[in-house]
Amino acid sequence: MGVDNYKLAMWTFLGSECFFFGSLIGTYMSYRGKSLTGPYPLDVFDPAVTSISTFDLLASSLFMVLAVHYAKAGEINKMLGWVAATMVGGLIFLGFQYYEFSHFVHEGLTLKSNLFGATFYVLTGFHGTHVAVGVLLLGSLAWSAKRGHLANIGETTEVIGLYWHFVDVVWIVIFTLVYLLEYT
Amino acid sequence: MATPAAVPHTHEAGHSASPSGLWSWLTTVDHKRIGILYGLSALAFFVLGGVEGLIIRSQLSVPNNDLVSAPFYNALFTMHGTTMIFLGVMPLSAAFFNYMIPLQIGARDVVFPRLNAFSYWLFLFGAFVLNVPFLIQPFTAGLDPSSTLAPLIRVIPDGGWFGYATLTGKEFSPYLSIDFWVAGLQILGIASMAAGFNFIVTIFNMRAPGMTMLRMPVFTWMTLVVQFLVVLSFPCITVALILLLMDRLFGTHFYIPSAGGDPLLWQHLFWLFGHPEVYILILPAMGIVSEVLPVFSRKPLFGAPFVIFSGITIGLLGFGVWAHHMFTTGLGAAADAAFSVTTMLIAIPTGVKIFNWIFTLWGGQIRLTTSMLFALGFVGMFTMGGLSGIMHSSPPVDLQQQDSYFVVAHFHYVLFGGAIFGLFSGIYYWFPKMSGRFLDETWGKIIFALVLGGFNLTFFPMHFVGAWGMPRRIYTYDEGMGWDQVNLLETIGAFTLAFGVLLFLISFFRSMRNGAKAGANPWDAATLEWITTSPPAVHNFDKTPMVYSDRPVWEKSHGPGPGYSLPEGEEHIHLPPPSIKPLIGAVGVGMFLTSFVALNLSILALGMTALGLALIFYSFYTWFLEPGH
Amino acid sequence: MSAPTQGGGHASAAHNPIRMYIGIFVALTVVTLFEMLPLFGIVNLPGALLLGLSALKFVVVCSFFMHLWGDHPVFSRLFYIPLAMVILTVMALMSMFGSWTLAYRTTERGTDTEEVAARYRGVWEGECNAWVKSAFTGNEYCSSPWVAFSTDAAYAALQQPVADIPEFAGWDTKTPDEKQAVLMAVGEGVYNTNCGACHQATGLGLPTVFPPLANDPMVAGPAEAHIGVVLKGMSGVAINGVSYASAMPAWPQLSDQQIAAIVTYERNSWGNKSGMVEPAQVAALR
Repeated sequence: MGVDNYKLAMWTFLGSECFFFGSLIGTYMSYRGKSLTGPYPLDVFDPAVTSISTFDLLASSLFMVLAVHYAKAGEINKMLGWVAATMVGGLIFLGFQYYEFSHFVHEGLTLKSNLFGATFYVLTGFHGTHVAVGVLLLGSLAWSAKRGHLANIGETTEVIGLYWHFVDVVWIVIFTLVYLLEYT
Repeated sequence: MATPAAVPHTHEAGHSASPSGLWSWLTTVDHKRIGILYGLSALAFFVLGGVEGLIIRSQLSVPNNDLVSAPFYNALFTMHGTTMIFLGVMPLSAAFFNYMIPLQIGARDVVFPRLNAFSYWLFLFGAFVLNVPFLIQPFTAGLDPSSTLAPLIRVIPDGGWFGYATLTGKEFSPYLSIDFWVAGLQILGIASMAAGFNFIVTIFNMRAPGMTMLRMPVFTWMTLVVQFLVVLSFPCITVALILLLMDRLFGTHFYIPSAGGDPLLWQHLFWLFGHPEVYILILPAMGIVSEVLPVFSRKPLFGAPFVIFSGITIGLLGFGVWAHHMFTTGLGAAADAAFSVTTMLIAIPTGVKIFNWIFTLWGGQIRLTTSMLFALGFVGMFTMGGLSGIMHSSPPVDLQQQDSYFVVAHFHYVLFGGAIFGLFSGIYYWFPKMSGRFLDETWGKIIFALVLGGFNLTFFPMHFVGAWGMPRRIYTYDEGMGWDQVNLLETIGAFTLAFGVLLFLISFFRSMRNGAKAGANPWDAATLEWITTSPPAVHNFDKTPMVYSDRPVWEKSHGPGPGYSLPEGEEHIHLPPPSIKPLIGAVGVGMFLTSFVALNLSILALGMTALGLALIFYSFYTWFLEPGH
Repeated sequence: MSAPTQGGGHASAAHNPIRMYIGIFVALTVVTLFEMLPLFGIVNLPGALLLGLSALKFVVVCSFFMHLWGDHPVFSRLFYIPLAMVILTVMALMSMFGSWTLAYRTTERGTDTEEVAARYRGVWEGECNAWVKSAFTGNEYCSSPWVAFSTDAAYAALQQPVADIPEFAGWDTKTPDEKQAVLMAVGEGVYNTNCGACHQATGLGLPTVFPPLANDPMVAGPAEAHIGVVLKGMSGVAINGVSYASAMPAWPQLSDQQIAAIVTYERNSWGNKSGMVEPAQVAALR
């Protein structure tokens, strides 16, 4: 077909990940409103934290796009800078997730407390894990690029960028279905 | 031709000696060797699953039997199903994917050879995790229930191959049997998905010049559809198993009604995987039959594009029928009706294929080789299985048939009479290519007769005894139900079938040494794998062919059209070097996932989790990101 | 061998893709800011609009950040076809779980679980005009007013007692012994159908999950409290020193006769002997 092997593999993987997150989201939506006891979403949600998290991840996507642009243009130093910025964005997101989770646990929302706790933590937890893996991938990319180990920096960065954008896009869905819909 | 970014290449033009020794097998990245590994493993587990089936049939041969206890019977039918599906049919299909796909598309190997090896070793690890309980339970069955090792009292998976909640929850299955099952399936799932990505990219990107998608062999097409089914459906069971693991290990209530959870969520998530899974099991065999029938009729496959598009349609529609496994769970009339309609619809593309196979035979010059006999058997037996299947599609009828032996009859007709017959056809068809020798044809016909006769004697009566009310998954039954003679007959059938399989195994291993020699294209077949020597050189093709039709090798000898042509001059042959990293990576992933089982026993199992992660990082990093290793 | 490095098919983008990326980022930010207005109580937005906006953001990120626009079509198909299948599947699951309704809402934030649970019940009972009963768990959820099938009639029907049970005919002319006999006979059936799944036919319940009814202080205590638990449900109370994580659902949809039968059956089974309860007592407590 004449397209890059890794890019083809990554897009197929993202199609598969749609089903993974789809199953988790399906579970969340099927159990929505069926918790027998609290805490319920509006008892624990903090709009400020969620807003900052969302903007942070969105910005990191912009940084990633710029990193890919410079990687393909061969400007490795700029690429490394933007990869680092993306990683920082990811780490900040993870930091906010950690803060949010601790706050919720303090309010009494745990995996065991009710269905909302179980479905919420599993869905957002796996999303966070994907962000963490993305940060690791970016770190490995930066390391290898800096040491000159990578044969095809432009294409590799693009492929990792696809993964990162997918993680952002899943957050857009989670943000809407889990958080925003509670305020309608 | 696209090549991976960072994989090192070595030049081995004209080098055809294959290294020997254990280490060469442990580090192999050659798709042909990986195919052989899958095939031999599959045959071994097929025998294991068969033995489990024979014990089941022995227990059921007479009423009120006490050959095995009820709990062990549960373990037997669980392991029989799990083994046959995940360790029998799927890896046997994978053997053919691995060996034949690169050859059929004119490539030297798959796009990600090390990932391919990783898939095999991870599969083997998963098979080990599922079966090692057989070695543990004899020693732990008598433990004191209050000791710290008490969870090991029952370790052989015993919750059914479909693991329904709430039976598999901590309350009703407090022992480790379910945890081993969960770990094994998660491992197998990752192995299958990795292979799925590999084959999709390979089939899209590595075809020989001139081989458009519609010129691909039908077996390759069915493989492509199957890989998509794998990568899209396995995530659903991954999630189902994760939620079950969380219920069992961390006290969540995903499937627990007392906290508002719903056991039906498990069924939905499982069957969202489970139904595409049965198409994963049957489509490769359909692909094989689509290759074999034309060759031994000396006619092209009738309506090949229709066969291909029917396969794609079956794959797509297969995601829309899952709740027909749940007709008796009180879904409500609307859901029942919707899924009944989609289930009936999926019979249409299936029927299209069957008619196309029949029209392929019509007017052809039929050669009844053993491969052909199994392929013909497939068409007959699968059709019968499809007829009982279409009966299930009606919810009121299914209300009687659900959980009875009628269903057991149905799925054995499609899975044994269908998938296994098709795969055996493939074995007899491709054995000469893979080994350079024929499987003995006389033995083959005897084996076919025993298998066909034994199979039908075992499973046909199950339609009746199921309709007469015999439920599934019962370890014994009372006399006077009217089931006695039928069950005895079925057991006789099972042993006949087993005898046929035994003869097959003997024939298989004898033919590897003493079989009549076979040339490059002993069957006068049509597709690219028959250009290569038998067995193929390690680099498959000396020169990559340029393809002009969907039957290139046939047309080259019989016309019309040139079929294929070989380019001028020497070709630069790249072969990926062997590597131990895939095996290490597989051990790491396997350890990581199995540690969740051990966490039930002691928190020290976190050490195993950490070690697994360390191995994963080490192997993946050195594998992916460091070239020149 | 590799795909074109520029994502957009536009000539201007080829000159300055960075400008385009930043522009898209700004647009996404503006849309997200708009979506967040309900979070801070500034304006209320319908769910459909929010879903539409996020779908828009989704497609924009996929098309321009992930370069699906202008790239080889195989990538779009590899992603969007599974995505479409997933969306249909999730919608089917939600339909089968009855999840198209918004079950709970509150206008205030609470910190105490007990208090919040009580307030939710108040919200349901006071403001809800349409109930949906889960076929599986038997729990009821208030359906949101904007869902088409919720009606006053549905709620009213649940609040009305079901048809009289034949055995209760001529109730006022029966002797106490006859009344007890009817209540026990009917009660056994209604108990096994509705209560037995959790409390078990033996009345022993499931340790730490469902309280036993044998030797239960509630069953031995005043009838009003006992009836109240069946009518209104209960949660968060320790029984005989054991706390139970799950809540007992309310059963307002059972008739006075049915509840009187259940309560009487429970009060006279499994070693309990605490008298009989009349349908009129149940009616008084609704």
